[in-house]
Amino acid sequence: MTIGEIIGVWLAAGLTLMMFSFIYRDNAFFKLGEHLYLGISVGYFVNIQYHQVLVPDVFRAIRVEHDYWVLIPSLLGIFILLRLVPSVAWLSRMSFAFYIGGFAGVAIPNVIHGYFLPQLAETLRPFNAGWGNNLNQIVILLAVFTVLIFFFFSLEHKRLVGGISRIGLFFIMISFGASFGYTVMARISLLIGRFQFLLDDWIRHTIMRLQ
Amino acid sequence: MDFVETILNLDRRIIYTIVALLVLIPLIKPFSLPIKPTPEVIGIFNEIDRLEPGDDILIAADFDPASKPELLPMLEAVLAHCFERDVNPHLLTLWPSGPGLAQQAIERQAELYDKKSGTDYCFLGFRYGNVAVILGMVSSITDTFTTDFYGMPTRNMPIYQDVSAIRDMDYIIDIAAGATVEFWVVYAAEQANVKMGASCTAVSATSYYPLLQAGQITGLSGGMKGSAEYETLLSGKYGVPKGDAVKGMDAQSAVHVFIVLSIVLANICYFISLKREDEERRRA
Repeated sequence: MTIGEIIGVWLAAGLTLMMFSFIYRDNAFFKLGEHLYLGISVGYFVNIQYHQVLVPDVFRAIRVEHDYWVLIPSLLGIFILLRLVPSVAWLSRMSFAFYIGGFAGVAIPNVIHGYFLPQLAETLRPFNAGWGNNLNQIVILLAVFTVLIFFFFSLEHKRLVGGISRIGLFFIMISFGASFGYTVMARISLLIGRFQFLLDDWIRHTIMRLQ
Repeated sequence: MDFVETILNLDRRIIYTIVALLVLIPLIKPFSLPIKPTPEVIGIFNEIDRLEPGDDILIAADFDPASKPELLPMLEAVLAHCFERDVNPHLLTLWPSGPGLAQQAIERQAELYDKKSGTDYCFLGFRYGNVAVILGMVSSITDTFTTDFYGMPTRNMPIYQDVSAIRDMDYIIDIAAGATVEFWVVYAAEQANVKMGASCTAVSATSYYPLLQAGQITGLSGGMKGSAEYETLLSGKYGVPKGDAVKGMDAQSAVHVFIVLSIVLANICYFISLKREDEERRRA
């Protein structure tokens, strides 16, 4: 391990312990770690944007390739920043209009073709694939129908509509339960990742110098 | 204070300590619980496994250090799988904070398998623009990424002599911590008619099951568990050493058992306390 790597591991271990200290109670070390994280993230993001976007796509395009078309999107980008200047903030609307219009034009046909229609076809599959698949299909149809009724607010949720929407609520709760279970798993994975780092990179490789 | 009240008023720091111990002990002394690969993960493994030497696979590493324990093992395992099969990975990221981990993974695996950048693999790095980048790659990869991550022009690379756009890829996999799976499905896989798999954080796994059910992705790996299953499959077939995801699964299982037992116990205690309150009210 080089000196730079050793310093990096000690810094990372120290920051990890600073963040863990919040588990006991809020404290100055946690606050320091939190602010460092935010500051470094913003600095890194700005740096990446400059080197990966502005330099190759704007500066090099104009100075080396003499591609002056990039001035138009660059100008639209500057207009967005002008929202900070109230007297000329209206210019940003042009950029947003261009962005939203362009993206909607790209997204609508693609999303309908590549997402909405395949999902719709899967929901409305014919009942000819064996009893197990047919049962699945009935559950899917029932869930889609009842959840749609649950989110249909033009009718009061009483009697028949109320009953159907309660079934929809039942499906929504199952979905939330599955998501929550996965979320718990994800958070524990993050904890395991940090402990693996502390045990392997910090204690075994840096402090004990084991391979 | 009796047992029921003790449980209901338990200091959260005691729970944190138990969770920490349950993570720490299996990491120090693993008890090697079996890991059974699920059909969802096998769906990705089999698709990559059927690729022929010289085929091309597009790997999008759309995650950052916040999802490292869940997704970096999957990226490493997929890269190892590609190199075992002599398949050419084309790695990129749509996340500004993604290149660091992706670079670390591909350089480590390339060194292990003695693979050469530009010939056996290409690390394209990061480009800003999500959908715009994908659409650009549907037209031309070398026009969208004129240089690779190291600043080398892509147009002259041997790996891009037979590959010009996404339609020339034999498989796509998005290893994602955000919503990019849908972008890749809609704008790349569906447009270019290329099969695709997805690996995501556990939090977002449930969102992608409809894509799997509809056959829009061939497989789905969710979180560290999915990565561990992939490592198990790879180790079983090619003898590749298991990685960090498998090592973490004992701890994951131990904490899950504790959480389930805690929920059951807390609910029993809660209902007992409700019953007691009810009895006290009646007596009063």
